[in-house]
Amino acid sequence: MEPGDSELVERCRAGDRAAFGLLYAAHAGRVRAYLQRSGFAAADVDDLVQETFTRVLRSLHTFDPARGEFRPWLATVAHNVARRHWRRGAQDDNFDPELAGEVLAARDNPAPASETREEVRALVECIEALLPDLARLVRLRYVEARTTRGIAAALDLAEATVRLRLGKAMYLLQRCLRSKGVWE
Amino acid sequence: MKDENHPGRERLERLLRQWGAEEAVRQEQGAAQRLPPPLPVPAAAWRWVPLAAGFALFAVGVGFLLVAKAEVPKSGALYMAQATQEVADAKALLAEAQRLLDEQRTAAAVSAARADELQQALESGKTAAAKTNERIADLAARLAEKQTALDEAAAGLKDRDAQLAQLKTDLAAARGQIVKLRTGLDAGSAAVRRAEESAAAAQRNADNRIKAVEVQQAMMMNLLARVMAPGGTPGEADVRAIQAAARDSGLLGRAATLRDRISNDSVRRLFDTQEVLLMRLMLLDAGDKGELRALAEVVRSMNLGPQIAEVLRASADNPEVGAWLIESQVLLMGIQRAG
Repeated sequence: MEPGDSELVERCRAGDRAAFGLLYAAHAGRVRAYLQRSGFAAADVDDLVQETFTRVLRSLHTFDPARGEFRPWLATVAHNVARRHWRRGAQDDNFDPELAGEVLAARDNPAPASETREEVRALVECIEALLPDLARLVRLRYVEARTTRGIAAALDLAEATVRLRLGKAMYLLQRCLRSKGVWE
Repeated sequence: MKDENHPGRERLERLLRQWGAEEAVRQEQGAAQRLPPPLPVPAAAWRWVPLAAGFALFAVGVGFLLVAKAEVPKSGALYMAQATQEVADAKALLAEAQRLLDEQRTAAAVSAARADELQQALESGKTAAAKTNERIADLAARLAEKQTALDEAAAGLKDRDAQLAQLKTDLAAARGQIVKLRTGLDAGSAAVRRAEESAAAAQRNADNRIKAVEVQQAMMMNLLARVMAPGGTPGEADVRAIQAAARDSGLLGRAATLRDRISNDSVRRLFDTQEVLLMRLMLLDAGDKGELRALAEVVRSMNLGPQIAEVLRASADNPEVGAWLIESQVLLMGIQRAG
């Protein structure tokens, strides 16, 4: 069984460099996804990931497992790094911060109910069955965490058009999920 | 477009958010394995560590040197204060150097973790490349198999084409034969029809001839009866005249030739009977009335007239036999009156 976050943090505190490597490997992808969904350019994301983990290592002594899990604590550090650079880079409102932060809010191996897994599988099939334009809109919204304004800017469309098409995509997805028998 | 219910919309929103987060992480992890970003200069970080340590040691050494060896014309208290300050400065420098060292160690640890991640990504990439190569080799082998199968199928198709062409040729030939046979059948049918028509015509002709012979016979009989009846019983001279007529007509000589042409048994029997009666007529003594009456009695008892009419219808194809029978009958009728 792989060691948990709390155990890895304790080993990092004791000077175990390999433990920090494991901690990094476990969470770097999520941090990178969060920063990407927060609207940072790909060229900047690696530097910000580096900065986030530098802060984590420097501040590990302040983490108290009794007060909460490591993931929310890491999310706070990453969010602080992002916010500092947002201020610097005059971050626009093309990205949805709340949606972006959900990659860090989710628990590792959440082990959802089997019906939820089934729902997600059915949802993926329904998205793939959408027209390519609508599927791209859905991805821009929920994978890249863009706002409707951000999607409109990315696709050179009117924001009202984006809202209309997203509504149509939602309607088609609900109908598809019902036709698959996943939903009543 | 019909609006879906609100709870369904919220449920879909939650599901999409969950999927979007998982998809984003999956893409980022995949991207990190596919295209590792550059290392954040770990070598530069480590280069500062010995420099910072050397600078701190140098500062401490300078402080102690100043305290121990400097000849400053000052009071002891001032000297001590200055020395203490120097030591404090040196300690501050040392603390700064230590902080710098910690900073660089932290950066180095992060960089090392990053390097480990990249190393894993590299190994993962190598593994993926090896699997891809295996997959390519497998696909190439399968492609070769498919090509072979395709070649075989193409060859088979060529054979089938040749067979099909041959079958088409055979079919065309069979159709030609059918046309010829149908033509021959039509010709045969026409021939049969013509033969049937000819047979019918021949039958009609034969019937006509029989009717003509019957009419002719009836006329001759009537005529003969009229000629001979008034004369009463034939005398010796009449008998001789009848014998002479029989000799002159060569009835017995013609009988030998005509018998071979008769195929009908009843005709042959009548023919033989009349030939025997003719022989008796030819051998008859014209002056012997008893013998004449006996012959007349035999001719009457045989009643050959109706039989001759019947035979004439049956042997219409052989008119010479019919004529012989009539001629002989006429002569015998002359004898018949002698009774």
